[in-house]
Amino acid sequence: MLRALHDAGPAAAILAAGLGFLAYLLAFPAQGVSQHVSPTTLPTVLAACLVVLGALMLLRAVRRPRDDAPPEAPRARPHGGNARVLLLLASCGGYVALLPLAGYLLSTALFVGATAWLFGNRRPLSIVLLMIIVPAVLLVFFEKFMIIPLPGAALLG
Amino acid sequence: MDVLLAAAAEVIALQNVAMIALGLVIGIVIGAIPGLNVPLAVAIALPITFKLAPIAGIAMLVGIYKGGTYGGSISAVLINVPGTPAAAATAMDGSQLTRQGHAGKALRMSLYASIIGELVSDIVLIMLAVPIARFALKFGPVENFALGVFSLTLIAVLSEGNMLKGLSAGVLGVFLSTFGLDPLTGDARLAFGSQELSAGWSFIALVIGIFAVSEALSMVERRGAGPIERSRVRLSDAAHRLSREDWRHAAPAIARAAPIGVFIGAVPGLGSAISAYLNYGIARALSRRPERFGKGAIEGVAAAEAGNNSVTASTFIPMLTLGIPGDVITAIMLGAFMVHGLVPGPQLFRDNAPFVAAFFVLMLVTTALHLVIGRIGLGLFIQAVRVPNQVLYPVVLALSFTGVYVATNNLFDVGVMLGFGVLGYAMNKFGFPVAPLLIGFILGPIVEVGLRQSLIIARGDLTVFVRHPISAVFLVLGVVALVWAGAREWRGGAARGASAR
Repeated sequence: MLRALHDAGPAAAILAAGLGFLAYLLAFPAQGVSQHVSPTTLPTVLAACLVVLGALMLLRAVRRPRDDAPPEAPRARPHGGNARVLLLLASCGGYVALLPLAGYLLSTALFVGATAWLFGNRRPLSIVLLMIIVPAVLLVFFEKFMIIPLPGAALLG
Repeated sequence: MDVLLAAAAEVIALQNVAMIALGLVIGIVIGAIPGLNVPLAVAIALPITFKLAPIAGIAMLVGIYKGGTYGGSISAVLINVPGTPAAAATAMDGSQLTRQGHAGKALRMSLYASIIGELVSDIVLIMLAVPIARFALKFGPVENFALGVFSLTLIAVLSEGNMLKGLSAGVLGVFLSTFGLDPLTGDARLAFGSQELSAGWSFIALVIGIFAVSEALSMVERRGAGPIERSRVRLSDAAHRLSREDWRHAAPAIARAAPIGVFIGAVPGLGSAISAYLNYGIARALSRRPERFGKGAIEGVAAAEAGNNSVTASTFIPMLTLGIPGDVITAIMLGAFMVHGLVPGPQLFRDNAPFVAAFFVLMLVTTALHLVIGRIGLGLFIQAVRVPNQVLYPVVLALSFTGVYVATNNLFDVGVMLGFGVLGYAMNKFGFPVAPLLIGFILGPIVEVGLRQSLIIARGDLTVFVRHPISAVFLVLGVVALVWAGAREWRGGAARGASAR
């Protein structure tokens, strides 16, 4: 049952995405000069392929969940794994949001500190050193050696 | 002969050797850093070379090119972050070998396969430049379409064992490549009114997201996996040495990949990423142990790297012989040639024969120095496996975000990288292979543009694809590959069914 759900979930997602894109593309106004293959022909065909593949996978997952692959060996689920994944994603999202406001140096330092903690680093000195060294080295390398500007801090003008 | 000896004497002058070495070191470092690419490094170094003698200036650029093409594999192997898009093919098996405690094997194979690929490419450039250039120029939209279709059939090969999931990933890859402005008409499609998306999804954001971010998400989920090695890692340890068995598997893959890569390099507009993936797929298709691919097959690393680096000299074939740059790097190099008063094309061979001879010797000397510098570097690079995850992944993530930002210069693509990271994480979790997605994304534009241009030229006549002999051969090969992959999948499915009963 779990195996069926494991396969049916992504199959349903592919089917739904394919249907969504197909509907969007079929409603797309005709563009460009008369051509043998228009700009939307290939994307439409590919969206239809996603629908077919998603439907086939869904059918297979529902009808014969045990045939396509041997069941996975039971694996110990890491405690709090999903929460850490969500926290890491939140840190990444927060970093992207903070970059233009706080600038590269400060936001990268905070991001590195947060991710080091999420990966299990509990030594304050190690975290502080990482927060100082990593952004500083990257900033000097990219801005001074490669002459590529990194985001400045809008909050500091 | 006298010309060649004089050229050799010129190239091995201390200044020129120093410039090659400097270029190689810069190239390897730049190549290993995600987001920084070889064209960028060549472009930045270009003004420096204006003040040097022609051969010294070109020597530095060639060093950066060759070093950078190889450098992407180092981070791909050690931290599963491809420094260059082409190195993503190397990451599939290279990073698995590192996880199994065989980083030295993967790094060694990556270096040696790269050097062999470069050497073959150099020799072909020197011996067969003119006939290959003539043949490569027969590649128009029709042939490019057929080559793209043939390469896409590798998706079926790489999907063996779970064809539906692999095909879905491949179709998704091609579909993602169609976002943004239409390459022929400039009409917006699938951009949803977004200015940033009108240029399509950034490939570097896709590659780094799929590999680095998804890897970090998987790693933080099962936190606690520490470094494999604690003490100083020695390349001489048995776990890091290449055995005779390793070479037995890798040698045929390299032997096939090098000539294929040389040819792909000679065709304008293709390039190292296509060569790496095509060769990776062919190596798996012809392997006696295809199930090892993606799980640490040394021949996977060998095929991808030999294919990747064997384009480095052959991309110069159309440029030197016809004055046509085959990719961005040779376009920049063309500028360097012209600044020094050297106009590539048939007249270059007539008017500047000593320079051409020196250039040929330069390619060989660069390859030899690459081996020396790369070999010295291995002992340093491999120490990265000692870094604990608690330190490694914060650095990898900061580098990935910074790399994508500097490569694209906008935060939108940094968000795109994060999105593709989640996609890669989900694909790994639900057993979808990522290689077909990347292959589809790379080949999508070649197939679409080739198809549409061909049909415009042929006024909608589809028989154009079988009337062109080269195209017909590729299409037949594609059908054969599909039938063969289908038969293997069917036999595998039947065997699995029997064992389940």
